[in-house]
Parts: sequence; structure tokens; C-alpha cells
Amino acid sequence: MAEAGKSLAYHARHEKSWVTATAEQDNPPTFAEVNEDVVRSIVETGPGYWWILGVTVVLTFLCFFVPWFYQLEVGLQASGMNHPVVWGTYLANFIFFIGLSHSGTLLSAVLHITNSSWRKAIYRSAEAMTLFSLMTAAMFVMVHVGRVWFVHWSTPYPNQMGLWPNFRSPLMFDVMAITTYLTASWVFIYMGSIPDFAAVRDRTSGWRKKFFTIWAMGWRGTHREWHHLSQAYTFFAVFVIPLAVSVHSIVSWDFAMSIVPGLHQTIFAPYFVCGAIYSGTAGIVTLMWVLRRAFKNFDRYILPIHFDNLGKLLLVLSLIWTYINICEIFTGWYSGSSGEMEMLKFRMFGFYAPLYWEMIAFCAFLPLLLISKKIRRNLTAMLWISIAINIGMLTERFIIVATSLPRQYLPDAWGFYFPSTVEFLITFGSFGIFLTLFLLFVKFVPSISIYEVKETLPEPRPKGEN
Amino acid sequence: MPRLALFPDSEHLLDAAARLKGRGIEDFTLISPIPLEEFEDRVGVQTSPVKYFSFFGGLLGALAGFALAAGTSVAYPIPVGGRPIVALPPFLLITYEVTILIGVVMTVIGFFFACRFPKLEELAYAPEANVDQFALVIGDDVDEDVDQDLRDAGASEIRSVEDPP
Repeated sequence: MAEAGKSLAYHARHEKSWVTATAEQDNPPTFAEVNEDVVRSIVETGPGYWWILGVTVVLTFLCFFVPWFYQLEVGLQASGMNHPVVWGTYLANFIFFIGLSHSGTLLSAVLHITNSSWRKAIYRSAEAMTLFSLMTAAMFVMVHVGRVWFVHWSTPYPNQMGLWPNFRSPLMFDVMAITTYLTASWVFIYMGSIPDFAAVRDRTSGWRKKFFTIWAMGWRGTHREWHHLSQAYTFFAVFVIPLAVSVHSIVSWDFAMSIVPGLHQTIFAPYFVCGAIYSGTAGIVTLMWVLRRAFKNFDRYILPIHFDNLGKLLLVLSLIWTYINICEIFTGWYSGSSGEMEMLKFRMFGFYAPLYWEMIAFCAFLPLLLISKKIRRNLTAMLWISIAINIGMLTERFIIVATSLPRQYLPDAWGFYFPSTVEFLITFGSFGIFLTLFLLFVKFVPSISIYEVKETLPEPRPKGEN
Repeated sequence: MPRLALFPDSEHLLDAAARLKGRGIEDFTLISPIPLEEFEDRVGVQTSPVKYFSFFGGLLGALAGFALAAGTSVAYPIPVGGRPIVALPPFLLITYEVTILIGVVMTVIGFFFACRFPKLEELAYAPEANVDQFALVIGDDVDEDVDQDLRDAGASEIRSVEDPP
């Protein structure tokens, strides 16, 4: 048969080509070892895990739910939001977490379509990050709206109040986009995990066996099932890529469609999408580092080359992000509009100037270090750079909200916004929600895709043919 | 009785499948821990109904999304400065999101339907074929002399199983 007729994945499996990072090690894991290592990460739970889980649960409760209930009791005056700044930290965090969610889509869908095999070891956790950051983001909507018991009014359902949502409002686009994105992320992570649920089912006992038997749906791995799965998965990827782009564009229009200097900008949609993928990719780097440390033998699957590739991606994204920032400032300045000028002055030299320049330092200058391969392959350096990028991106979202709304066109309507203690606590606690969900995930879902890692490994050889 | 043959790798498995196909036997099931990339080249073209579900799901979603946004606006009009009640640019966004929503949901339904999930009956299975072995299952309507073919193709073990393939 002609060599050209074979797929890239075939070459990956049989010829140790450049795509097969996992197989390029001196002593690549065997098929059986992949199963063992991943199942061990699910069934073997040390005291460290329980301690961390306990801390995150307490953090979630004390820093998220208690302040939130206090806010429900006294109303939104518990936050620092007041006229004219009626959007504050909650929405900044909402954008941040939606942005973080774009990583999973990138790794699982874009890199699936482009056949980049190196994604296979790390995409499952990235997808989980997508799902959980979306859930955390959805919590911020609940917190932000104040009277959360009316939140169902924003969904179109038949009722006797004669109440229908106005679909011309960007907030309604948002409701639809996020509902769709949440559903699609659930489905995406579940479908891709079915063969792995079956693999874990075969190797566990007790309640775990029952649990994984139900989730595996009777998967056997027949040639028909594999074929249907690959078809369905490709369609998913095709559905999900434009979805992810549309979700963050729509989030940006929540802001850009208001006539507020600093928000009313055409470039906002690509700016938000680029920022989302940027912070999401940095989030994956942090997560990879942690997984690699947390589980035995995971350093055989999550390799320096993964950090290297993600580092290159981060470098490119940081350049695009910087460019868009320059465009944003330039168009504001070039318009000569006094409203824009006042906003720019406040943003760059006002009270929040230190935060603004911190953002520029962390997101525009620090990532330039990634041009060096040595740094991209240095896992500790990658960890700190990725954390710095995400701090910068969280600040970016805060700055967008907190420096635009106080400087609108009428100077006598100017104001100021500073987050209240409740807002600080809830921001802090939201990371508890995210971490708790992720910690539960690693015990209920194989956090490395077993079958896809195997695809990149050399097949077992029959006895005597070594 | 149905038989299950184990192979050490996909090359030998596909070889065996191709031999069965050559004999005119099509009713076999291959079980493997990884997708068989070369199945189509070596054994035959596979079809899947999933694509129809995705396509018609998307189509249905597009219609439903537009009907939702336009229909409710017409039923409960909110006139704002003489702007159109059925406004295409924002409604196309709603249409787009619902297209994807229903498309995704129908793709899952299609996948479950195509695989006949959830499978409640016991079917022939070998747990090692989900780790590092490759299995081929044939039903009891196949002659015993096929087993020799399977061995020639490199089967390391042939066992009888009680459950259907």
C-alpha cells in the first residue's frame, strides 16, 4: 500500500515521528502501563488529597457562600457597586472564568481538527477546566444579578405573566450562548471519555465498578463503536470551535454595545476571544504542572514538549494581545473625543494605573521570555509565567469594567468604584469552587485520555518479534 | 458457540478480518483498545448514521432558534424608537446558538443510537481487549474451519464465549 495513503496517526503510532512526544522517551510506557497509571490516579487517594479537598471545600463555603448569603440578605449594597459603576468585580470575574474556559475547546477541538497528536495527553484536563470554569462563571451571573430567585425570567419559557425576554439585547445572546456552551462542554467531555470509563470499569471493583459501568454505557471498543465515536467527535469539534469564538464575542458585546468610552469598541470581540484563549492556555500550563506533580508516573505523559508547545502558543497570543491593546489605545486617542481621552487618562494614570501597568508587564512583556527554548522547557519558569499571565488577565477584566464606567461623557456623573470586602471574598472563594470541582473530577474521570495516549504509543509487539 | 480470537496487535487483527471478509463472512466484530486507523483500507468501508443526526439537528436548531426569537418578538412586540420588531442581525445570533445547541444534542443522540447505547444485554467481551490485546468475535453460524484461518493470521488464543458477538 502507498505510504501516502496512511493517516498521520498511523505514522505517529508506527514510526516514532515528531508528533509522538510520548513515544519519544527512552522508555515509553506500554499499553498496560497507561491503564495502570491512569486507573491508579483514580483509585489511590492519599491523605494529601483529602487535606486539599477539605481546604477548598471550606474556602468555597466560607469565602463564597457565606458572603453571598450575606449579600442576599442585605442586597447589592453589600458590594461596592453604585451609580454610575453598576458593573463591578463580579462581571470582571465572570469574563475571566469564561475566558479560562476557552483552553479546553482549543486543545480538544482545534488541535483535533488539525491532527496535532501532542494534545492527546493533556486535552482531557483542559476540557474539564472548560467545564468547571464555565460553571464558576455561571455562579457569578447568579451573584451579580442580586435577586437570584428571578434569574429564570431571563430564559424563554411560557408563563402567564406575558413576560418574554427581549432577544435584541446582548444579555439574551449571552444567556443562549452560555447555555449552549455549557451543554456542549458537558457532552464533549463525556463522549470523549466513554472508552476510558470502560477501561476503568474493567479494572475496578465495588461502587466504582457500578459507577463506571453506568457511565461506560456498555462500551466494548468494537470497530463500529470506534467508527461512530470518531464521526461524532469530529462533528462536535466542528460545532464547538465556532461556538467558543461566538461565546466570547457575545460576552464582549455585553460591553461593546453600550455607549461608554472604553467599552464601545469594534475591536472588542477579537480582543476578548484572543484574551480568552491566552488566559486559557496559561491556565492549562498551570494545571499540567500540578497534575504532573500530583500523580505518580504522570511525568511520563505530560512532557516538557507539551510545555514547549504551549509556550510557543502563549508567545504568539501575547503578541496578538499586545497588538490589539495598542490598537485600542490608538483609536481612542486618534478619535480626539474628550470622553475617550478622559477615560484613557483615568485608566493609564489614574487610581488604577498600578494595576494597568501590572497588566502590561505581566501580559505583554513577561511572556516575551518565552522566545527562549530554555525557558519554555523549564517547567518552574513556565509555571510562574503562566500564573503571572492569569493574574494579568484577571486584572485586565477588572480594568475594563472599573475604569470605563466611572468616566462617562458627563463629568458631573463621574464616579468611582472600589470592590467591597464581600466582593473580594467572593472572588477568592470562586477559586475554591473551581478547585473543588476539579479535585472531584480527577477521582471520577480519567484525567488523561487512556485510548488517545495509546494511539501515540508503539503497539505491543507479538512475543518473539521484538 | 461464538468464538473470540485474541491477537497481539492490530496488524494481525486486520489481517484476520480481511481473510474472513475474503471468505464472504461479514458478521464479525473487532474489539480493540484504540481506534483501528486502517480498518477501511484493509477490510472495508464503514458507514455511520451520525452525520445525518448532526445535519438535521443543526437544521432543526436553526429553524427553532429563529422561530423562538422572531415568534416571541411578534407575539410580544417591544417597539423601540421605530426599530424593526424582527431584527435580523441579533436574531441570527440566537439562531446560530440554537443551531449549535440542537446540533450537538442530536449528535449525541445519533451516536447513542448508532452504537445502540446503553447496552443492557451481555455481549462477547474480553477485558484484555481494552488494554493491550486485540480481539475478533464470530458468531456460532460460522464454520469451525475458519479457526484455522484465524490461527494462520496470528491469533494467540481462540476461546469459546457464551454471549453473542
